[in-house]
Amino acid sequence: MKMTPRAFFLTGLAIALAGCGAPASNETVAETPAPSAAAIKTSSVTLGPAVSTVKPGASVSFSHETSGPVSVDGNGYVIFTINEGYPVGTLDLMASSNEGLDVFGPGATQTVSMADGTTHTWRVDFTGLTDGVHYLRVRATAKPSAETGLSRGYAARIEVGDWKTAEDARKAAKPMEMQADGEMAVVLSADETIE
Amino acid sequence: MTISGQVTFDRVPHLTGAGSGSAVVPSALDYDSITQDPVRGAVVQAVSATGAVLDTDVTNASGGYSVSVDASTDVRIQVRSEMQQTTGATWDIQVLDNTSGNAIYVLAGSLTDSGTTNSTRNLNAGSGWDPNLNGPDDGGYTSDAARAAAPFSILNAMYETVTDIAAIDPDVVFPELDVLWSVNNVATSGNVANGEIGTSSYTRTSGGTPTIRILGDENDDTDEYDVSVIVHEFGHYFEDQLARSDSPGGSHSLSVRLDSRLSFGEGWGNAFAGMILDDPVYRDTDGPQQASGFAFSVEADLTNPPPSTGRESGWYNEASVQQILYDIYDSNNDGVDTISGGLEPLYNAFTDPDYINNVDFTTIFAFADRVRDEPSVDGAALDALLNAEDINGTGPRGVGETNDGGIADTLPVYNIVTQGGSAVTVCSTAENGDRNRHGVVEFISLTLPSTGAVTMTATEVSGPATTTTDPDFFIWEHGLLFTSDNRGQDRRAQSGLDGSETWTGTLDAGTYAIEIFDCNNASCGAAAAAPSCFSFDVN
Repeated sequence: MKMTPRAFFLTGLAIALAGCGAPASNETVAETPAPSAAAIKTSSVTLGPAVSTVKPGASVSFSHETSGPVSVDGNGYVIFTINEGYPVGTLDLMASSNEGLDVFGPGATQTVSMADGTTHTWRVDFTGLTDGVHYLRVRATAKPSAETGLSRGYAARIEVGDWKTAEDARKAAKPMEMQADGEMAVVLSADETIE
Repeated sequence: MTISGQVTFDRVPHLTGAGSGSAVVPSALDYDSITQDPVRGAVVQAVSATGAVLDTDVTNASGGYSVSVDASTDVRIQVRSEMQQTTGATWDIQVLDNTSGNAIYVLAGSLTDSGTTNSTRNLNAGSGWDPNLNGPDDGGYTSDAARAAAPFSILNAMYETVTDIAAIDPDVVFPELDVLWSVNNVATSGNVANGEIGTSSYTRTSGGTPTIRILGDENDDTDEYDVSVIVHEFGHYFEDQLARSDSPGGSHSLSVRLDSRLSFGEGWGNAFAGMILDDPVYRDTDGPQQASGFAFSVEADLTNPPPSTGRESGWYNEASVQQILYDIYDSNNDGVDTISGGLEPLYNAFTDPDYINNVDFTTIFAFADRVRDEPSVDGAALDALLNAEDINGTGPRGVGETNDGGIADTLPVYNIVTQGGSAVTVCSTAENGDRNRHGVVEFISLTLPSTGAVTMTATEVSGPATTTTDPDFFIWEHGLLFTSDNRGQDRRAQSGLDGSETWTGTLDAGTYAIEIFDCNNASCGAAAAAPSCFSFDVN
């Protein structure tokens, strides 16, 4: 197998460290892309924590607080805190949910001025309609100028009623099937024509 | 008996409109224009009534497959959401359901007698979209289980990507990649096994299988048909696994001045999507019925004119980076662009061991310094592209850069220190936002002529009057940040809120890239963000 250039580097590192007395298995390192668990284990070094790169979107981040679990037909609320990085323009907020929640109160949309500071709070009231875990979503579209804004979404987890039983039932209903080698698969039905 | 046929999936395109020009424009999925496209490079299995695999094939570029089974046997054809190639250019990419124990998806036909003559079985993975589900012209997905096309749409984007790269490097080895997609993948961070993935992303790990996560939350954000998003994230995987990425990750935007390692990685991701998809317009849809969203062109000069858009050109802006990289690639010589290099010079530069193991951070400066060595990239023409985006520093460290992005302290791009030499003053500010924004972090380059004991010290020289600063610094070696190096040393100096920071240890001779910041400006400190400066020296 061809070694990636980065693997070359770590292989060299592992070899060098092996000379320092660290346990080494150069073959394992050579066949493993870097930075790999095998390379790290072999060379007795550890690297920094995982880094996640996220998709492009608005310069907006979110956090939230909820009123806590609600019963079916019970009311609750979420207070979203939205931080944006724009000096001017408007921030369009839209709340939505699946069929398990009903958003009510002042409304499911709001527009705030980004010139009024970079942190905004927004309370969204809802009624729990069905048992289960539901998500109250908010989508923020930042419009620092007249053109179409970039958006970014967020969701708050809402537990309604006997949500655990409902979750178990939802997961059990998934079309799972064990393959011959013991691997689990989610079976999707094909539109099939046989000739 | 031979059973052959074609495997297809419902591809949902985007409304393309009149093009994006130099502005951000709306985007939406176009369910009225669904086409059935071939599932390419996927693993096909003939399985028996008991589930035993009787034969296996991989679909060709037309989605065709052929398997052999005994006559008069009950057989089901199933297609795994997996692409695997084990000779020449190799890859192993799976789309898995993270909300079902990382189970693989299989597109299954019926269990049907194979008969006594050869037969054809064509399988299509439907989108599950019913245009009138909720009433006339009020569409929706009929059920979660009906969204069979989704994992194969993701695979299709992956196939496009790996084959484009394999055309340049027939021996390329793509490390194993898992793509996590589920109808339950929602835009909140939490338990990934419940679908709480935050957003579509690539996770760079220090071990284990690299992972791309893709949203699937209907009526809020689904990305299985947003191929720009998928290839963008694959671009991060490519940079991380076959090249090198020092990006700190995190949220970013076209209109925000970013840490230059982040702006380079994200600009690359955006440009890469345009290159692979033969379409410079990046599209991402969201909202009810996936009927809203945004689009922008990586070919367009999005930073001109600002200022109302907030998109300012420079080494800290992903919009500048994406335009430069795409102009190197494309054959459309617009503006100052006279380079038509295709993907090859970019691939060569990214995968060059000298680039990967260079001592500086991965920024537009380091990349430009390497890609200008490619025969198809004229140096003067590259400079014209860079200068048009107000990037004028030279070499891998951007020496002589004059564009400070509104924060004078961010220049020079690298501060140079020597052991026993004079201290340098470095600063940190959250003026552009915290964490990964331009101005939070400064870079320092340190060359040690010999192996030995080293003490690095950062001491506050200015800061807020009422709170204490929290300087931290990380010591990188060829793009690696060790939390435990071969001497057991943590290369991260990050003590508490006391206005100073010291690292003492032993380092080998060589050059180190150091990032230094005030933790209070990086959302990791205990005090409020505020501008601060530190004296940094090495003894």
